[in-house]
Amino acid sequence: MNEKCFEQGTIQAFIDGETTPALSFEITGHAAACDNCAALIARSEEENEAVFAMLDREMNTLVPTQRLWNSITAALADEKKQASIWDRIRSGIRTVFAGPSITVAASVLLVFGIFAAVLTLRDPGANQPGPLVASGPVAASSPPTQTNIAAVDAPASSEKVDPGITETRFRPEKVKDLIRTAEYRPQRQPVRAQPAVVVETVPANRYIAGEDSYLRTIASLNQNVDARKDMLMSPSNRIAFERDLAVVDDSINKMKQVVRKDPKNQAAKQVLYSSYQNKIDLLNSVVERGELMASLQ
Amino acid sequence: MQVLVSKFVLATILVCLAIGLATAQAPVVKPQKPMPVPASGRSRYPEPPVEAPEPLTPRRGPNEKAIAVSADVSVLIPCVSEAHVRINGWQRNEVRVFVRNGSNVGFKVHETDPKTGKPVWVVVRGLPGSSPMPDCITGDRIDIEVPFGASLKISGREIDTRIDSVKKVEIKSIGGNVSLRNVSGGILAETFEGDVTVENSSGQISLKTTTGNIVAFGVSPGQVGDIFKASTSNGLITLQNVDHRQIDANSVTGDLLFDGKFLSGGIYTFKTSDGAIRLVLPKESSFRMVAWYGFGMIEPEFAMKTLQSDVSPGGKRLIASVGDADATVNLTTTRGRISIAKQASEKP
Repeated sequence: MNEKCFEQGTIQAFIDGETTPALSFEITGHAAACDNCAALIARSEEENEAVFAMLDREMNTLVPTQRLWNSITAALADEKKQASIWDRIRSGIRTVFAGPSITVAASVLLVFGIFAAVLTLRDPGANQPGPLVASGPVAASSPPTQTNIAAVDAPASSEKVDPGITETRFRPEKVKDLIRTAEYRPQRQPVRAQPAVVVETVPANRYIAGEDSYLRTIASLNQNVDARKDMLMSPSNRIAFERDLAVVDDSINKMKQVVRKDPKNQAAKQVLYSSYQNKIDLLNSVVERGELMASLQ
Repeated sequence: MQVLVSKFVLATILVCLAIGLATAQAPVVKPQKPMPVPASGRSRYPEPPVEAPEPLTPRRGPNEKAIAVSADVSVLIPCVSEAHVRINGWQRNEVRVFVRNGSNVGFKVHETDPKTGKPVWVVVRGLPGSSPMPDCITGDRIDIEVPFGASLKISGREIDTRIDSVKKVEIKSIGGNVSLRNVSGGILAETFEGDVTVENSSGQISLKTTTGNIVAFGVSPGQVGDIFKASTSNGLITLQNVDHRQIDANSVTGDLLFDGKFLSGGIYTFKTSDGAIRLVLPKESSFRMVAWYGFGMIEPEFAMKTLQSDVSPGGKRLIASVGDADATVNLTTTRGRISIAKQASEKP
């Protein structure tokens, strides 16, 4: 054993596979050149095998248990496959009704269901047409007559009971037609969600891009100005204001027409926006005037 | 003897009372000769005087008040109901107010300089009972003298105002003309019925009137980035030798006249709805023009290089350049005429 020989613990760790790959390579490389270490490794492996042989019984004790579980699972699966549908249902019911509370609840539901079914079946008006006034075309010569369709449909009875049948002068084909019509019940159409159809209407004077914000501002200012302009402005100033407003409105209308005719006319749009801004400035001047007057009072 | 002593004591008390009353009624301001204001040599950027506190000038009547202030005082006149207002800068560190045939005025000091103890923020207002509107000053004429470095803020109803040689002015009035000259630190003037005239001033300038003309000449920026704005509803805007690099002028129904030069890097915007735009420029002008004229027309005297031109009924646009296109000029009119002319002295 030279100085580079590894300790027994390191060799044991190597045999157990607990060393790092680098150390493993180093040990194997060293054992290839060192007979002592090779012998030591061989001896350790023999000891390992002897020890595992003695512990084999203990170490394999879990394997039969696992095998047992596997065989049980397989047997259950085979049994399930071989069982008939009725057996499965029966076993399922047994399992479900094993608890008393579920049994009681199921009984109550059953009784309630029977009661509801009886009530539904006994309701005569649910599926039968009621007295109906015949609304078919009536000839002018024939007087208007009434017929009770329910009575027509009623089964003949041996007892002498006034069935409420009024004699009519309809022909059999007409009566048949009336019955067919009276019995007609439209099929119930389930309500289904229909996809919404948005019909886009293009107004004649659709806004151009950015115009609506100008219009909103102008509407807001107009509301403010209209309420106070008589109070805020002298007559001469009011005349000047209205004249300016008319000029600006005229410009706006003219430019609007141009833009409507040619929406791609950027120059017209620019002038239109400028006119809107002028109107805003004009209205805003009245608002500012009111604010100044209020601050001076 | 006791009677004599008691009479002597009584007489002494009476004499003391009389002296006290006489002192209380004596004028606060010592009568002094007013310091002559130099007619010429007014500096637009006056140096704050280093002299000791000056004696106040004498009153000219009950409607005159004076107060010693700091050189860069802010004077607020919150309400002038009706008057001709004349405000002049002077070298004295004193604010003096005289109201002729009007309300009595008083000062209220809002803030003083912690070092000198002099007021730096003064409010001039009418005394209660002397004016129909509380705090408002009214009269035939109001003369106010303030230091050159003063900043003024005035609000009024019907006031005809002339302000000369102050640092900064902010004035808002419902009616009346506003005339400003030699204002070095910026102007904000708004009147709703009246003309606004600015002469030989600098700084950021904003002029606005509803029914009236705007005239500005000899105006320059105080610092880089100062903007000149002028806006009127139906008046004429005339700008002559306005040296701001950014000018916005807008008249709804009035005309615009610019006589000056476009500086390199400047942005000039002139808008009118119904009026005409006339630019009178040096022949060596260099600018890029974007003109929008809906139903209007354009008449340039300059040789322009057309970059883009859209001519359709109601929407016309011309983008053109003159020279190296150093400045940008935006012109908008709905149905006015745009004319770009060379200055008279340079015409062949």
